[in-house]
Order: sequence, then C-alpha cells, then structure tokens
Amino acid sequence: MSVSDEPREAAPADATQGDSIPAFQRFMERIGDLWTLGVLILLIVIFGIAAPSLFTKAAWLSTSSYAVEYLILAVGQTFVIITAGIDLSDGAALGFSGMAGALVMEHLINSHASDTLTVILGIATMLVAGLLVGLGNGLLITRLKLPPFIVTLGTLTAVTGFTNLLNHGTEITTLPNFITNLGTASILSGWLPIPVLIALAVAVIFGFVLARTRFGLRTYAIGSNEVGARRAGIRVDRHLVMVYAISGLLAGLAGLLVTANFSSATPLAGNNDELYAIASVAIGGASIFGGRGTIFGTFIGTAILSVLTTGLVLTNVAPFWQQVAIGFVVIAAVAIDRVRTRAGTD
Amino acid sequence: MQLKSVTRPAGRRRALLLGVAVASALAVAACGSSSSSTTSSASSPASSGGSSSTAASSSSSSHKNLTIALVPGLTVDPFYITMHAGAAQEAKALGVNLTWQGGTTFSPTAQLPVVNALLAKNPSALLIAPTDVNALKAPIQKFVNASIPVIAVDTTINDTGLLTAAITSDNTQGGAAAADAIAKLAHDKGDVAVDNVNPGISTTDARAAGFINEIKTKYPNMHVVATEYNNDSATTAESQVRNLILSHPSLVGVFATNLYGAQGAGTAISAAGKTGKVFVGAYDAEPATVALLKKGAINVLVIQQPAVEGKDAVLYAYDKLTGKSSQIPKNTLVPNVVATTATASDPNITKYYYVTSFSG
Repeated sequence: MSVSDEPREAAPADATQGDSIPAFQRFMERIGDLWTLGVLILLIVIFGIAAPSLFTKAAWLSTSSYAVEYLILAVGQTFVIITAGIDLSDGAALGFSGMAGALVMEHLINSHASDTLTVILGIATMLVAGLLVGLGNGLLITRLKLPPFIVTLGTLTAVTGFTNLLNHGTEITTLPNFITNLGTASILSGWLPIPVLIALAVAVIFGFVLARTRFGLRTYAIGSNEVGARRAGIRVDRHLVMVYAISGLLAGLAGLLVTANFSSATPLAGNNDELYAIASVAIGGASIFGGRGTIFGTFIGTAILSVLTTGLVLTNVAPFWQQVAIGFVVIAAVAIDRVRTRAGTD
Repeated sequence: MQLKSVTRPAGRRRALLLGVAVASALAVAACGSSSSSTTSSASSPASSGGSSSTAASSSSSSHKNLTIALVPGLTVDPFYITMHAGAAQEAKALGVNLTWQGGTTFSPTAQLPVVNALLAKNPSALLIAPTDVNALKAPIQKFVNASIPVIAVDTTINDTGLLTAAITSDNTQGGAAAADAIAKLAHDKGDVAVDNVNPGISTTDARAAGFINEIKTKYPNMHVVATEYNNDSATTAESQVRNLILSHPSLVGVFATNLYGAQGAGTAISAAGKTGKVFVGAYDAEPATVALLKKGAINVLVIQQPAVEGKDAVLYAYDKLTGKSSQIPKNTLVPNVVATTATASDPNITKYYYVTSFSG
C-alpha cells in the first residue's frame, strides 16, 4: 500500500498530464474484492425496480435452486484455476456420477435390497465416480506432464461417452424415495431448500480450506510460481492431483443433487455446466493464470449469473438478448477486474 | 411395435412426376457406376405397380446386397432407438441390410463426420434425421451427386429438392394437440408459455409454432406470453418456468417441446405449489416423461410414432431402389397419439411408448 501511496504524493511534482487512469486504478484498488459484490447489488436493484417480484420467496427459491449445481462446481473449479489449471470435465463428471449412482440404485431396487443400503451405496457411487474422474485428470496432468486444458477436454468427451454407455444414453427414473425427497426437502419454513444448504456448506467449508489452511496456501503458491513452490519443498504433483480430485468429488456431489432435484438421472445433466463454473470463477476475480482467486468471489460470481438468469426472465427480455446480456456481463466483469489487477501490480 | 403404416397422402402428382424423373436419372447414372447389381434388379418389378405391402412378401434374394444406411439425430435417444427397431423390422421383412450409425449428441458437429464417412462406404440409400436444416445440405448433395437416394426421417433440410422423400411426425399437429389438451384442462382461458430447446431444429420449432398458432386462432381468452430456450438443460428450464410463474400470475400452461423442458417445468410447478393450476404439455414417450406423466408432474404427453417413420423410410428406399419410385409420396406426415395422466397406463397408449434398447 505504501508503494502505491508514494506516487500520489509525488504527483504534483510531475504535474504533467491529467492522471485520470491512475486515479481510476487507485479507485478500483481501494474497492478491492468488494466491487463484484457491488455489481451484484446493482443488478438486484435494477431488476428489482423493473420487476418487483424479484423480492419474493418464489424468486429467491428459483434463483438459489438454479445456483446449486453451478456453485458446487465453481468451488472445485476455483481451486483448479488458482493452480493455473482448468477443469473442462466437471460438467461431464456431474452427468457421469449421477448416472453411475442411479444405475447402482436401480439395480439394488430391482433386486429388493434395503432402502438404507440402496441410498448409501448409490450416494457413495456418485461421489466415488466423480472422484475417479478428478483423480484421472490429476494423474494424467502430473504424470504425463500434459496441459490441463487438453487433458480435461479429452476427459470431457470420454466421460460423456462412458455416461452414455452406462444406460444406452437414456435416463434412469427408478430411484429410492430418499433421493427424490432430498430434492424437495427444505428448512426454515421452506426458505432454505436442503440442496441450497448443502451448496452453501460446501462454499463455507472449502472457503475456509482455501483461505485458512496450509492446503489453501500451497494451492496459491503453486499457482503463483510452480517452480518456486517445488523448491520450497511443496509436493506439487501430489497437491495438483488432490486439487483435481476435489473438483471431481464436488462434481459427484452436484450430480447427486441434480439427480435428486429431477427425480431422475439423465446423461445430458451437467452438459455445458463447466462454462458457467469457469465464468463464475472468472467473474469472482480469479486469474486464469493462477495464484489469485477466492471462494467468496466465486460465490458472488455464481450469484451474479443466477440473478441475471432470473432477472432477465422476470423482465421478459427476449431469449436471444438474454444470451447476449450474460455473455457481455462475463466479459465486462473480467475486463474491470483486469484494470483493477493492473492497478495492484504496477 | 405392430403399428400399421400410415395412409399415404393422395394427389401428389407433381411429387410423383419429380420422383419418376429422379428415378430415371438415377437409373442412367447408376448404369455408369460399378454397382450394377442395383440397376439390374430395378427394371423387372417396376411395372407391377402393386400395393407396397406385397413388397414384404416378395423378399427375393436378389435384393440381399442392398444396404440402407440409417443415420439418426443421435444414437442414444429412445426416440431414435425405437425408429431403429421399426426400420430394422421392415429391412428384415424386405431382405435388405440396414446399418445404423450416428453421433451421440444432437448436433451437426457430431453428425457431419458420420455422414461424410458413410459416403465412402457407398450405401444403396441414405436415411437421415438431419440435425440442422442448413448444415446438412452440402453432405446430402454429395450423396445425391453420387446417385445415392436420400430420405429424411423426422427432421428435414430446407432444400427439400435433394430428397427422394421426407417422412416426419406431424409436429405442427402435435403442438396444436398439446394446445387443445392444455386449453381443455384450463377451461379455455389464461396465459401459456413455451419452453423450447434451441432455435433452428425443424421439429421442435414446428411443435412450438403449432402450439402458438392453435392458441392464437382457437382460444381468444388465452395468450402465449413467452418462449424460452433451455439449451437441453433441465436446470435452466426449471429456473425459466419458476420465473415465468412469477412474472405471469395468470399462467395456466407450459408447453415443453422436449424431455428436458418437461422435467424442468414439472419440477418447477410442483416446487412452486402450482400443481393442478399450471398444466404442462410435453413431447415424446421416453421413460422419464412417462414417469412424470404417471405421477402428474406433467399432464399431457404428445407421443410420436418413430417406429412407423423408420419402417416407412426403409420401405420407400426399397421402392426407390427397386424402381417403384411412383409409389413414393414426397412428404409423409405420421400422426401423433395424445396421452394424459388419466390414460397413462392404458394398454392402447402404453403400446406407443418408446423402447430404450434395441440390438439387431
């Protein structure tokens, strides 16, 4: 901070051109991470004026339920992006784990296994399936020294293929009641659906892990300077495998919640979700070059996309303009962030 | 599926003449090519002119080497699997080979490589469900240039002149039927909305148009207030329908043009506590939509007859290859069946439900 303060005091001595851009940069720097929160509040105010129904329980439930799968995926994606990696396969892993777990549950129900066993094995299958995709990504990236973009692009396609192989590409609807109830259950007299609660818990827990633990610190260290991290004694490869495994595990959890929400597992679930997850992380201020990003930022990023989705329908914006608007918000958010970053580093 | 073939539309003189012209052009072209086996057998039964049903009985061994390629919109969808089953049954009866290849997603990007690769294999005829009205034109043109007749099944292309025939479910009628069924449930008044997949898909666009037009022309007290696109995501569809319920308090119906719209709309309406107030019309008897229909999450289901489409396509290709072009109608519309929650378990309805696996 003292470094950036100095030029301002020295500015009158230079006293040449109007330093409007540095002033703007200083302004952005002061705001810090809170600017994304400001954008979110601005969106809520604008849409709220245009469509007061935004401030209803129904709108809250619509927006928060929509955000569940994207927030969970984006949390995993945040860890990956901070290490200067990317996980394009998390949407595919979501669909795969949902189908794998549903297939196990369908077989157990048809063979009259107990409900408890069916539910436990089904959920375990989903989480393990997601975890395996993540582990596969991590091992391919670290052992074969392949770029994360290529590896996860490949697993995106391959895993989608496996998903279709599981049940000839068709959906599974034979599920235990526990799973279908999980999708509709809520607390606080209906204000907080269980899937939303789970997503928030994931954000809080992993937010803590990233910000307050050695694991989180090492994640930043690897993303800032991988060689340096290695020299400092961090077992970089092992750490990266764990980061991709977390992304996969969370995709498995998201697969469970999507399956529960629609009382069926479909192979197309999670299709294109990785784009929303990456956009959420980018809006949240993470650098795709690694070393920077927070779960709080990602949370706000997901919230911005979800509020946009709700608000644009509530205000009857034509569907194609909705796509245009969402695309421009992503670009604008990242563009503003770059100006802010430049202010911080120069 | 023991479904009877659709009655062919009468009075299509122009199409008929065109068919004859194409057929003779084909015969000339085929004489020059290496596959002479096709043309040698083509001339003999042409004069018989009997009804098409006789073709099934006369499965003469001379046509055994005809290979008809069926390219679905995607290989993993019950709709197309049911179509494959119908087509394979007919191919077996006629004694021709049927191949089945396609992409695993409904997109030109996935379908184009398959179609281009097929050209090298030089099949006797191509039956295809084009995944885009424009993008498939160029590859289909290549087949036509190679004197391979092309028949569009279910979806079609804009340049229908390239096609020997086009067979489709009557998607406009299906959309209109959904509109009628929803209007009946809602006592002919209130707002309705459409949750479509993506623009540019001829079938789902026709369903939406049929629905919208029927509401506009037949129900003066009903209004179509929105059309949303869910991009094949149930999560997106759910959010859209929840928000439509919110922004249009007098919403009484949602027409979802495919499974993901139906799942999203059904989930949204039960979550919003609007069951019995907002009615959902949906499309296609896949296991998931049938389950939704049975439990009342959706109220109306328009069921197509893909088995009949596949069967007719094989028959027309066979007619074309055996010189009976005059019997091929240019356009065939296969009617739909409408199911409601009340009739969901009726054997007269369940026999139309799609199959999820077929190997043959």
